[in-house]
Amino acid sequence: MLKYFRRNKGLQLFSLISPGALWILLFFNLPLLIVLFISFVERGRAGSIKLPPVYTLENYRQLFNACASQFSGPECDPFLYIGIFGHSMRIGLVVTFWCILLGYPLSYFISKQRPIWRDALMILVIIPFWTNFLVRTYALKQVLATEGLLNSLFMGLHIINQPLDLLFNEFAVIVGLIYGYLPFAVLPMYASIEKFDHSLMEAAADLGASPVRAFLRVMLPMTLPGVIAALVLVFVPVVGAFITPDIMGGGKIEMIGTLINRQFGVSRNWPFGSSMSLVLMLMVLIGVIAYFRSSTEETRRAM
Amino acid sequence: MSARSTVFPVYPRQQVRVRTRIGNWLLGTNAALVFGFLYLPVLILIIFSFNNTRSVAVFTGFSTEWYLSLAKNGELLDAARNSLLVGVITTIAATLIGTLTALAMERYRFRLRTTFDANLYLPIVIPEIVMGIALLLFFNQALFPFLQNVFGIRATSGLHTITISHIAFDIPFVYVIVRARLADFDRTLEEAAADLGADEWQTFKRVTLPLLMPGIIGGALMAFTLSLDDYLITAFTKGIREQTMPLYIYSLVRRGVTPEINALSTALLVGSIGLVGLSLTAQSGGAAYTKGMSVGAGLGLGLFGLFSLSALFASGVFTVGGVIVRLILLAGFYWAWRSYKGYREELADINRSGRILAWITTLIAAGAAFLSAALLFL
Repeated sequence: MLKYFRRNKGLQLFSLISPGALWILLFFNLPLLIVLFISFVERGRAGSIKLPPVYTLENYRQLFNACASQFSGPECDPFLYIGIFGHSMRIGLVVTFWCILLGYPLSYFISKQRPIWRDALMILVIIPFWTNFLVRTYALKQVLATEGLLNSLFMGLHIINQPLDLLFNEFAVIVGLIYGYLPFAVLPMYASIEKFDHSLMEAAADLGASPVRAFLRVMLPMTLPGVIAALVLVFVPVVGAFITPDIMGGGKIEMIGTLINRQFGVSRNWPFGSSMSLVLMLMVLIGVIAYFRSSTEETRRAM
Repeated sequence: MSARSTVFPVYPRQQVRVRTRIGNWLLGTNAALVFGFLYLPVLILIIFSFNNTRSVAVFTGFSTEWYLSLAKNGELLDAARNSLLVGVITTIAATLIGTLTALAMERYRFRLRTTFDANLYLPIVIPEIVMGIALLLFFNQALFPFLQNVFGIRATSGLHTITISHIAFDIPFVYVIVRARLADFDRTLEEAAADLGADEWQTFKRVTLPLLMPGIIGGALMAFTLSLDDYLITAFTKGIREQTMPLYIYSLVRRGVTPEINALSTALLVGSIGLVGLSLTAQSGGAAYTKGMSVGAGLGLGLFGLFSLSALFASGVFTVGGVIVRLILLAGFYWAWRSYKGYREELADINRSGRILAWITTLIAAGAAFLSAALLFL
């Protein structure tokens, strides 16, 4: 029996891989297939689906034309959902822009330090990854709150007379997202910049390039893979974010994540929530696949 | 060289130096601002958890009353216990399954291998909310109706559905970490073992597994942290009654800002940073650290077993379960003692600062094990 097992490679492979394969297929792939199925059926009275299932493209049409739903009122905006998708992408771009703008010079700064400082600073970049995201978001919320530190400070210094509304608006959501995802941008850019040979900049200067020109023509192109990785790593989770817009936006700022969540909560429209989830997933996957196609194995491993 | 310098503009030294200085100053300022932005809110959070009034803006005096009120909060303790239970089961299952999968994918060639590899990365990259609703729909629209109609079992969501889901999203993370370790693996070591007469199982037990251990422990701690921290997937797969720590915190955070949340957050921060420290030392450090953690975990469990013995005698109720649990806990001492022999050998091979660090990891592991056992069994 044991001898047979030793000789039979196929049996060994089967016993090693079946638990993982089973679990992932059953509790990841099958659920996704069910989302796909539900996104193509009509919604039922109680919020779940109509039984027996009635197949329809309604849930996708509704996404592009919010008035297509039979439940929509007379004063409906046909681009409501497309608008929210666009808005999420815009927030995603703004957040990504700031993360790269702040993160790139930081990565450069860290890479120029002596090794011991470099390691210490990188640990400071990594710690937020491991601290509870909820706790970090709360930490920021507490600073920006009406009775929070920032408002009391400004009031105490007589810069303002009334507390500013720093929370529950788009500003708060964007700051919260930058706060949450900045470390994601620093890591890959640091990996690229650290490998960059700084003597190339000296060579460019010797050849007469101005610092700006040397940066744009030499350093930026050579560290671009890191910047692109940062873009993907920040943009992808930000577009689908739920926790930050919910806590920092206080239910007033709608993003794709909060919109999907609403379909499974108050709105009770599971089929529509499913179709939106699939569209979101598709968007994310296109981004990730594009990134994998454009990057080399080496730059990915560096992360 | 001199001929060229007439062709290209050459910047005067003085000007370059001034520019570099301004540039360095800007870089330094940016770094200070970014780190300030990242860490000041957390620092403020920690400071105000010790405030003696309810304000989170004006520090009026030092007190630990918010921590004391946490320790008396039954709802919180229940949530913490649930989180720990889910986390421990998830970690054991995900680590085991993820490691087996990594071994299969790295050591064997088969059809659809690259497809399955890509599939294993999917749970890491897709938005968490998508996985959350997928599991919600799967349980409520497929699995529960199926169990009801085919087996007549009435199933509902609860800690078990949370655990199943956590295992599903943790397997890929363990897989990635262990597989990275396997990829760097020097297979000639296994060949050497085989040449020396070891059979496959002996080779695996004595050579492969010890070399993989840092990756496995790193993956396990990562899985544990992710499970403890997860809000979104948990929120979609939870039942009506039981809640976990992040669910409890979320309900508080949505309501407002209070020093209790600050105290709770600080406790969580300390816990997760301790875990990360362990995970990173396990991954980058040598066998001394993993052995040290093993000794520490055994000691922590054993100490709690000893500590809880008094409770068993005091109550005067000897249940079979209570006795078995304490026996298992006390077996921690035996485990620690067994690991200690290997630990001592490893310690002899490293330098003084390494030894101190190893003992620190041992202490942290002991503390973590003790506290976890206290929460779970008290």
